[in-house]
Amino acid sequence: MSWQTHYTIEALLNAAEIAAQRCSTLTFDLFDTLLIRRTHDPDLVKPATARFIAAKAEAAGFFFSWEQVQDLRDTVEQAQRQQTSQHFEDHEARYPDFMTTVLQKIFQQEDVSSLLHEVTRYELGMEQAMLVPRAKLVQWLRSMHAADKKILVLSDVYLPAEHLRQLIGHAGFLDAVDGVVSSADSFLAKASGKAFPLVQEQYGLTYDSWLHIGDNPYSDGLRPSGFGITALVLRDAAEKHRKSVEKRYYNYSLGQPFWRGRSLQQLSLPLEEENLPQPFLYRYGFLVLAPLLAAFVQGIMEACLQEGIRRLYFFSREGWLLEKIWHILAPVLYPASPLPEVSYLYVSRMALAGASCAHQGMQRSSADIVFLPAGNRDFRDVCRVFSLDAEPFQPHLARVGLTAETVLSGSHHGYDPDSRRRFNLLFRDASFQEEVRVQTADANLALQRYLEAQGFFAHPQVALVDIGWMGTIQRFLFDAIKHRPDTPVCRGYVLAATRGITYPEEPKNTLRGLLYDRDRFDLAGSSILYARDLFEEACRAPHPTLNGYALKEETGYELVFRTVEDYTGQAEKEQDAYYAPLQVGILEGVHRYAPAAAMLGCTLQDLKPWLNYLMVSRLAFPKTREVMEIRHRHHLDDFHGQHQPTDKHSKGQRHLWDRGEVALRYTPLLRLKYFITGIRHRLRE
Amino acid sequence: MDKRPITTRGFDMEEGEIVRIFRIYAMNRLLPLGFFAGLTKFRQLAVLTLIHGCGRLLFAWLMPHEARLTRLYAKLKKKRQKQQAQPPIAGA
Repeated sequence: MSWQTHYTIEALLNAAEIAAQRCSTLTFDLFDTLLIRRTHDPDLVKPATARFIAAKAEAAGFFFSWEQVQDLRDTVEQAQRQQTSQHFEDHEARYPDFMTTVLQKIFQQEDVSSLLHEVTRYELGMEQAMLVPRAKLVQWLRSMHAADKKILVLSDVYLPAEHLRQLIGHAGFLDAVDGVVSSADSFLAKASGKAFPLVQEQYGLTYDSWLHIGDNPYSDGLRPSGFGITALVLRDAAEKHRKSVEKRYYNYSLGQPFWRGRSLQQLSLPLEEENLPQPFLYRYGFLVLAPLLAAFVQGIMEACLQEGIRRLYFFSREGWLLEKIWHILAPVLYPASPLPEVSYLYVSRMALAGASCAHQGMQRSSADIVFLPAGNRDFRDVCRVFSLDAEPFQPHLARVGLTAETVLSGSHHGYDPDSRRRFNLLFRDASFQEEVRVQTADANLALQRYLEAQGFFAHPQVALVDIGWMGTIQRFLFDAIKHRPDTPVCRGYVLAATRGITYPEEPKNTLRGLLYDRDRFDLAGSSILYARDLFEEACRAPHPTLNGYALKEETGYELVFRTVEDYTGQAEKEQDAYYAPLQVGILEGVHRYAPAAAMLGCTLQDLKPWLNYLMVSRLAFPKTREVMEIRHRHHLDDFHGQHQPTDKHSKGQRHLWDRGEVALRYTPLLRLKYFITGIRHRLRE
Repeated sequence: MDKRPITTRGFDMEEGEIVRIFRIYAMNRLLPLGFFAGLTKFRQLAVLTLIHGCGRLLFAWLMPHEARLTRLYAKLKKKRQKQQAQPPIAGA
């Protein structure tokens, strides 16, 4: 009897439907038939396991590179295959056997059962992430199971049936399968044809009422048909096309670093039933923001491991999403490495500004930060930001010829540079600084109590993570606690460091931008500055901002949050609801990013050229529709006051992403004009 | 808001990412856009554009001839290897 070959899943199912009418048993090949692989090469999963074993070995004091682990695995597996071939026709291997030998050789101990369990769990996890059920075939399998046909899965693979059951269970159709047979258990494979009599005997089957479906013309076509089994072979052209695309990206990425990120994204793309129609914001989150944010968090992990940091805090509110990303990435990318313990820290510029003045008084650089946003105009804005009562300062202001309403910002009408000069004199005025200290003492004490409760002072070194941009939160936080002898070394990591006001770096307090840092010339990376609000809002937690820290008798401190009842609070809620699909898309994208990055062994540095491309193409040269859909509806910040700046200043502050639809669509070379302006700014910096 | 699948029928990222890469590649030749580690080569872009755009039809057409094509590729590969291994003719 010969077998039939089909080139589309639809043609195969039509033939299978007819053939199944006279069959009571249906057997299926598993890999590339019921489950398709995201990768073109199944062996690509192995280096991730080798990295895991190498990290475990390092932790146990045995130094092996992952390449050495991989070589050892290949050698041991090959030896087992040769040994098997002496007794069986098929050259089969069995994962638990050869992996036990590999682990015994690396860890130099006999009992490696718990290690084997960990390694197996990791490798199966990676396999699961790379396998997708072929939707139409699985659906048909279910219908056949419902029609009382016996359904068996046969596979020639080194994984025993127990492991295959786990993979099928994860794919979601184990309940429709009556038995799983793996060549690793019997060393009798489909390739030699020996598996078919074994299954026939084991399940009491008859060859003439048996239909076998697989993808290999030899193992799934020639061999079963030799026994009189009806055999259908699927050589799916669409699958071949998909794998060919993936293979090209992978091969190009080996020679051209630019393609590494694209290859990773190709592995992350949803397939089959995963590839459902999604709204624009979800797609944007999945394809653009997920790789950018995941690579950023991966970069923080790399830095923490390098610096030996054991404690990390994500700053509210953007740290909320970053912490979620961390928890998705950590068990996949660094499952055996000593990553720091992480937690979420409630902070904000407004809450920390006042607390930062309790010991050192108000610094001129801190006041300069207040006047960066054009909405802040006078001393009352300084008081709002630093949570100060303006009235007790009237005599101090009067001493230098100012009032609380004197314009101190160059962005407003009536500004006199001499007023600012006189205002700066107050920073050297002892009585002014004393008043500042008195008013901010309680907030500082409450902050310290909060940080103590969070274990902040228990480690010699901590990492602080924020979205960006000038590191103001970290600056204020460090200023508030630097008087304490137990202040840890603070290593700040931000998505982008713009350093609009020079960050006061010192050995105990550093700041580093991972995707962009103004201290390193990076034209493409600076594209992130086009849409800073987008990143802030995309990562923002669904809780109101922190207004301050207050003392409380029972707990020692109290976190005071902003009300959500006013216009700003309601507008934020509306914006959060609008961006909800964006956040879902980001998290889904990160779930796919993690195994792909682990498999390819990519670091932030490897991905940087592709991330630069994403930033340039999506932020500096976006499509009009993208800007219109994704631009924030409301971006409100208490730090940025409510005063209206001069027209000249407002016009100067208008960026590409602030332009209207008509200008974006019809103004010739608009994006190029902004990009050239950007180049000029970068060169000036 | 329109809903679309993320992966296109040509297995590209939605809305033809390859065209976008082509655009940035062309612009980068006129004006430095930043660090892309050499970006890409024209040939690679052309192959990828072809495979994303026409791969569906191409593979549907070629797949039934897979066995013959594999034999042909193997023969060509062998021939190429033989040519490379041949020592240069003395005096040529």
